[in-house]
Amino acid sequence: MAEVCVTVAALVVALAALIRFGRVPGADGGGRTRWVLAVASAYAALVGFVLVRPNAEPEARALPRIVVRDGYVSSSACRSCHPAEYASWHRSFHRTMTQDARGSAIAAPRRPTRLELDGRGYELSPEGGAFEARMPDPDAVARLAIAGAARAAMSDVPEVTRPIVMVTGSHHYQAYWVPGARGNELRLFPFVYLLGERRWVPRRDVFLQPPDAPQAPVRWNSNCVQCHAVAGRPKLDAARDVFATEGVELGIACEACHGPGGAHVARMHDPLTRYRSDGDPAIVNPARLDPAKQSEICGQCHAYFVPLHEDEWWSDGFATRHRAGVPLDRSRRLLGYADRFDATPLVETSFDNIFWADGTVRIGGRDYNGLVESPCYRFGKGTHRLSCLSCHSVHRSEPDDQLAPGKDSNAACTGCHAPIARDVAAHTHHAPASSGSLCYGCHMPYTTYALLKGIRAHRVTSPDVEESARTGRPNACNLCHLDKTLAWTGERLHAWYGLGPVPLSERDRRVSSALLALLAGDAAQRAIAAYAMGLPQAQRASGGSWPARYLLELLDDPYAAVRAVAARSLVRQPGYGDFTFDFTADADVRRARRQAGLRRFSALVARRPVSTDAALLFDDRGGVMLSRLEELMAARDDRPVVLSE
Amino acid sequence: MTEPDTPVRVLERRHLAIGWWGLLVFLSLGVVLEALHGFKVGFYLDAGNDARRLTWRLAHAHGTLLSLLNVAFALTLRRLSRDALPVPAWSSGALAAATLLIPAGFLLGGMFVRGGDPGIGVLLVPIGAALLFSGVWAVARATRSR
Repeated sequence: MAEVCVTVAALVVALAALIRFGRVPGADGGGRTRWVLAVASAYAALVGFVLVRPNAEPEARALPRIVVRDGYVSSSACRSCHPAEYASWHRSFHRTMTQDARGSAIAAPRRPTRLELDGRGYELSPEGGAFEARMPDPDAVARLAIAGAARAAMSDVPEVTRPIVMVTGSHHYQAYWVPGARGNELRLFPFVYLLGERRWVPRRDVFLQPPDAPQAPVRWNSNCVQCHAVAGRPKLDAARDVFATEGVELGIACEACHGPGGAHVARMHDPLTRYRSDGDPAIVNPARLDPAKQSEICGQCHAYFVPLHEDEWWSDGFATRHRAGVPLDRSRRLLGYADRFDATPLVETSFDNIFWADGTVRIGGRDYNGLVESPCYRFGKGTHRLSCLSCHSVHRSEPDDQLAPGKDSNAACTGCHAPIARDVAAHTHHAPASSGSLCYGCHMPYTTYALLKGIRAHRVTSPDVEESARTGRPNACNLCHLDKTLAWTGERLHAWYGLGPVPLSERDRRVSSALLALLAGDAAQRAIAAYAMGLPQAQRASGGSWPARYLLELLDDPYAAVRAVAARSLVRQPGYGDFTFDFTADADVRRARRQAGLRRFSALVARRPVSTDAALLFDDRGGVMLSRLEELMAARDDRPVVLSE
Repeated sequence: MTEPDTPVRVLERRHLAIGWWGLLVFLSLGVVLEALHGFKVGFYLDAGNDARRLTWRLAHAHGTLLSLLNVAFALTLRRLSRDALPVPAWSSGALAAATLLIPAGFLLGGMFVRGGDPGIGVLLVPIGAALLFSGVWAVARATRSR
């Protein structure tokens, strides 16, 4: 209202000036023109006000409340002094991790869309700047899921219309959130939009979980809030069972890593202080912390942990006990494989779903658990201690992986391991320019799974055949040399590094290690082996078209995520670039596509055998030893695997 | 001995006054904007206030230039004629109103921003622009006719 009054007042004064100044003693005032201009101006103003009349109050929304308190100021206060850092953060996936669905946040095309899941329809309609979803009542679905009801029970759930109010993710896929029934509770819309493939898929199909897993009642307020917002607080009123979730800012913003900026901003308002200052103790600068504390800043989210004070967590999350720079162990307990023996179960899932049996975390995005188990972290001293910032930089990097300049090469390691750098080939026994001479190729293999792909383990280890045989965690050699057995790797490690001979099973001595994982491993092993078969360096090292034959077997894997990974690797095989496959399709459709793929493989083999290697289950004439193949697939590790990313 | 108040003299004094007082106001606004930078005032500099920063800078720049235009207008009048008014009288009002409306529109638009958009005060700008064009057109026409 004040805005309109002041604007109209300015207009009136201007018109008065126009009329008054149009009168000049002793001159023709051009009266008619003067009045025409005045009336035209007033009319234009009136039309303008009508056209751009301010909107009424914004509609009530179910988003987390943004409450800037406890010394936080939000990222908008940072830009004026730190424009470059602000810009680099602004284009990062950290910023867009959680966004209000209004504006340009939704990546899915804004058109009416009908989706189907378990026989129920889900309809999305563009509404204003976002979407409305006609869907089975997510609160009723959640109640049934918590009660352990079968999927069939969901068929009776009534339909409701809910707006999409928030989105999470912007890198690989995007998830969508609708209001729940209790306060500003947010329920997950059960489909995600794959950004690469540009298609909707059921959310349960992009997570590695058994095919018969119930629809998970995912709620943003009770888990995601702790990392996907700055200083998020669930604010569950347990007595009323209602959420009033709040945070300083949606997404991972400046103060998530630098701590509350209020005191710093107040000090730096004074220009003299700014020009005299060489670092302000009122704000956390991770680059100036010791490596352990640096890493804890990333570890506050990139780790598997449980809160030390669970009751308090449901109210205030970690916001009261933790902020960047404060030791993590004051607010949470980092999970390790040894914790599986804890008298009180710390997590609902099996530890085997979180860790390999050697203690290496197997779920992506939990890289801090891997880092702290690395010898470079445990035994490193001073600046020679490995930290997240040894390789990553939030502000001097591309958004994808956020590697600091030069850290996609051996420079990441040779700062400490200088003698190796002087003659890399002598250490690696691979050509210096080959992927076999990249430090992280051998010491950080793709044995972590998330986001429908393998991810480099952040526990720095060396290839160890005994460990691979005992724990099932693939080693770097066999993830590149896909055609080789564990025994072959054992011989090389013995010859090159003096590692002792390892007693191996008949299977490990005769069949390619990657193939064993692909055909007989558990779901995570299958996914990781399938991912490796799509890697260019592995294709160069392993040669030929043979992986296609076995990736085709995974097109009918019971786990949708395994099928997805296999299909992505399949199209990278010679002769399959145009092969189409929908990993969410019904079993009949999938099997038909698998048969089509097998026919294509037969045609390839008819021209020229792709292999005669018995370790790859090919006979002397290039035919697949079907009985051995079926034998391995029958021995598949079908224990349920749930990797909770 | 003072010159008689001819229409030209009246308008000349008026626009010299508008011009120089305008310069004082809008150059002062520049100093204020500098101070907002110096003291890192969030209302002006924070990330969500892009529109305010842009429109206030436009107010400063347009106000200063329009003040100079008023001075130029006054000097042009004398150059064209000493007695009879060489331009329509309304062109004086149009220039004076434009000198108020354009910077005021930017200032008000920046005062009440809506996300990335200025407030409705910015509507004063096109009105002022129309008046400015009218006035400039009238003066240009007068120079040609002499």
